[in-house]
Amino acid sequence: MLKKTTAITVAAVAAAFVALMIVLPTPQPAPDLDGALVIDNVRYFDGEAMQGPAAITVADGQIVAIDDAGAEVAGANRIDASGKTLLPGLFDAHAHTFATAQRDAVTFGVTALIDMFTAPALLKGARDARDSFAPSNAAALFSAGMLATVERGHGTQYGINVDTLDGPEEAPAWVAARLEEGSDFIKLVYMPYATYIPSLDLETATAVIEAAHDQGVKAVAHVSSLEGARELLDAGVDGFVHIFADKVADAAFIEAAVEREVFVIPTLAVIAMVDGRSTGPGLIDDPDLGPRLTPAATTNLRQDFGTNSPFFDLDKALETVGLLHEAGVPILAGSDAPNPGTAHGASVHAEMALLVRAGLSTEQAMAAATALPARFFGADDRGRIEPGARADLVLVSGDPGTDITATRRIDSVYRNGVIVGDDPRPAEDNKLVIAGVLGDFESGTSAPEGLVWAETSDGMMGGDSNASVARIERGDGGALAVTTSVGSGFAFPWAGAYLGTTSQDTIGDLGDARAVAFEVRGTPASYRLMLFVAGGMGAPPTAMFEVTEDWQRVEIAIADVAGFEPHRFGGMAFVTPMQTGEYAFELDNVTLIR
Amino acid sequence: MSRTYAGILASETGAELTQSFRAPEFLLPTLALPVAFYMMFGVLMSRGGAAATYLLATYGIFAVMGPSLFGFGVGVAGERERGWLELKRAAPAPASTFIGAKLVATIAFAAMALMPIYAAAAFMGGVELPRAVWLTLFCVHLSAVFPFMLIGLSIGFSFGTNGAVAIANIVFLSFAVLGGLWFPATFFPGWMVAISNALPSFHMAEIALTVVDAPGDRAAGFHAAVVAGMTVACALLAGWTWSRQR
Repeated sequence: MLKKTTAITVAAVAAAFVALMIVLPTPQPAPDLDGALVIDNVRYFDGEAMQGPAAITVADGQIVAIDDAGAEVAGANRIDASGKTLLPGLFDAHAHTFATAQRDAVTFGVTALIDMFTAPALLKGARDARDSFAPSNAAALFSAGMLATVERGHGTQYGINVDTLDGPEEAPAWVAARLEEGSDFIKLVYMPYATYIPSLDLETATAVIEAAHDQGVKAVAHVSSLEGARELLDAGVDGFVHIFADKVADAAFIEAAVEREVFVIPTLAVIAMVDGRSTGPGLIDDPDLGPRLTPAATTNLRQDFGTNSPFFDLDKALETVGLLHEAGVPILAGSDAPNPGTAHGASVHAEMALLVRAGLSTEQAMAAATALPARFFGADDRGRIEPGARADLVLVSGDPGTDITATRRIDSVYRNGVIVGDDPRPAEDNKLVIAGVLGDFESGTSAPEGLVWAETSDGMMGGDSNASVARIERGDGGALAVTTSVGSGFAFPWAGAYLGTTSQDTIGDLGDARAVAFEVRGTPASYRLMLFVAGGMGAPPTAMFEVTEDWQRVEIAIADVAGFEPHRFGGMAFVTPMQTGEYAFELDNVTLIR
Repeated sequence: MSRTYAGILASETGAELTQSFRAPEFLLPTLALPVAFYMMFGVLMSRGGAAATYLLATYGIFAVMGPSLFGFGVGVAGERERGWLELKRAAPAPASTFIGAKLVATIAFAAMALMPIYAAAAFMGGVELPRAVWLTLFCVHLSAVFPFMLIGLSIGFSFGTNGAVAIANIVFLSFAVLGGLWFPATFFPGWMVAISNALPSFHMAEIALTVVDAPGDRAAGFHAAVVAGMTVACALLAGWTWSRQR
């Protein structure tokens, strides 16, 4: 009896002890503050409102603490940001990602792009890259990938092979194919009232939206008219990626938009351009933004459609945005870059100013480019300044809370807590050693690990050239057939085949390769081989080669391509002459030889 | 039935536990008082944070002190007065089981007094500690049983029941207050600090505070050496007072 009392008591105490020790809370591992950064005395926009001044501590790519200004943080580097304002890294909620888009965007404080249509090949590695906490000089990419449209519909004119839809029954498989490619959400084009271009019908558009929801992703829509938008509201669309500018929204539409809880990305900057009131020249002339523009971006900002369409009235669009906003519809800032009159990154600042003109407060305009896109596109650790958020940040001079154009006074941009352009990594970290056969097309268009074959054209710069690539049979094996059409819409037109790295953060290393060798035949002319330098801007190093109707082997010595750096390879392109016309060529056995 | 040493110890411990379980005047103050005090000062008045962690370290010592001083001090005095000790000496059981049973029972009660404080600190005071720190702190707190038990024994052997109750209470309260278990000793004026330095409760608390990395500089080794020295002194004192019983 007494022994039992002992046994029970000791066992009970021991069991309680073990249970307690298991459930007692333990702290999150403390971040290593050696090498942490404290941005002190800084005003900040937390995603909703202006706060501070405060001391914001950044370590290991994250915001780890927000303390009162002047707080002591052991082991940290301190910068005094008195008079400056820290914003979450901006989003461009409507961009098209080609070429240097991600790098260009980050220069202007835009650290995340919501891409509304790009070549699916670019999505490879995008998720890993955006989840990584390594320093980066490129904006994070969230993308729709391919868009949903019909044959010859909007979206097919840009030189990217589009998997078009013919009817509602194709929708589930079409959406599944997009998710397989890495699309984060679905974008569809619905413009049934446009007379100049075919469009998805309502039944198919509805089926695409339903298939997206069934497969767990959002569906957003390109619309160009009030009527089209109204129909998609009833079809359950999650958001509009443009505001229609043909009419001012009526009360019924606004009520329905509130009820359906949709968000709107008006893209006022591109509507302004179509309406002949481009924001582009203003960005070029801006004393802070202008010098950051690449020559290509400046060229793009000067361009416009050359027509003033009666269906695009900026004043109507502004009025609709004001009404929607007043009614409580979330408004997101998107630029639709790189359309004419826009540039990646820079145009987000123009868009925020246009949103203020439409009736948003400065804080609401900043939220439109930060917390709201993060929320609607599932970028959970972005768009806010709070402990635990990713340290994608923009430090600007002045107070954008009182003047929205202060966002253009960019002091520094941080990606994962490291100043962009201040990447401390030894380049070797992300080196991809490239050698041997780059494409023999024996069984497909696959490239060595880390590389991808794709089409390329000046469509990405707003030009009207296009290209498509496909594998064809050649004897016992195969070759890459490149079909192109070179237009005159861009000052330096090109179209052709592109071999690039799957991640923008990767730097290729061609080692001691002596030459690029390949076999080619096609429409006779002088073609160009472009060798891109990783992170390079402007016109790429280029060599010429002659193509005839008969197969011939070409060897281009790397040392002869002026300006190319073999240890900083960013990609290569086999492209047409600059003369307008149709060109078709076939490429085979692309090899690096020693 | 063969009576092994462990069997005897288990029976004796059972008797000790049963006796205590039947004595609410012992049970309530030793088990409920420390957690009630901690709730008041460590959780409600400090609203969590660093103070909750600091006071967890000191109130843990306070919680262990109760069963050690009263279980041994007052308990032994009563048993001695009732002639129970003489009976024990005549009984066919080793004398060490008498102390051993009391020790096991006291450790059990100390653990029972500690665990609610830990739960209050963790789930109401918001105290978060690495698992190894929780475990180490608990071991440090439990180890305080030894010096206090020996002090209790000395009291029990030296005084009658009434005297032992009074003396144990004085010791208990002065160790708690002057040892800095209720309020940090850093708030004390100089003359009080001098007294604190002479008390085992102060040095035990300093060790516990080192474990939780409380603000301030501490030499845990120094405090451990002082506690060890005091424990040996208390053991000698207890041995001497016991030998006077024979």
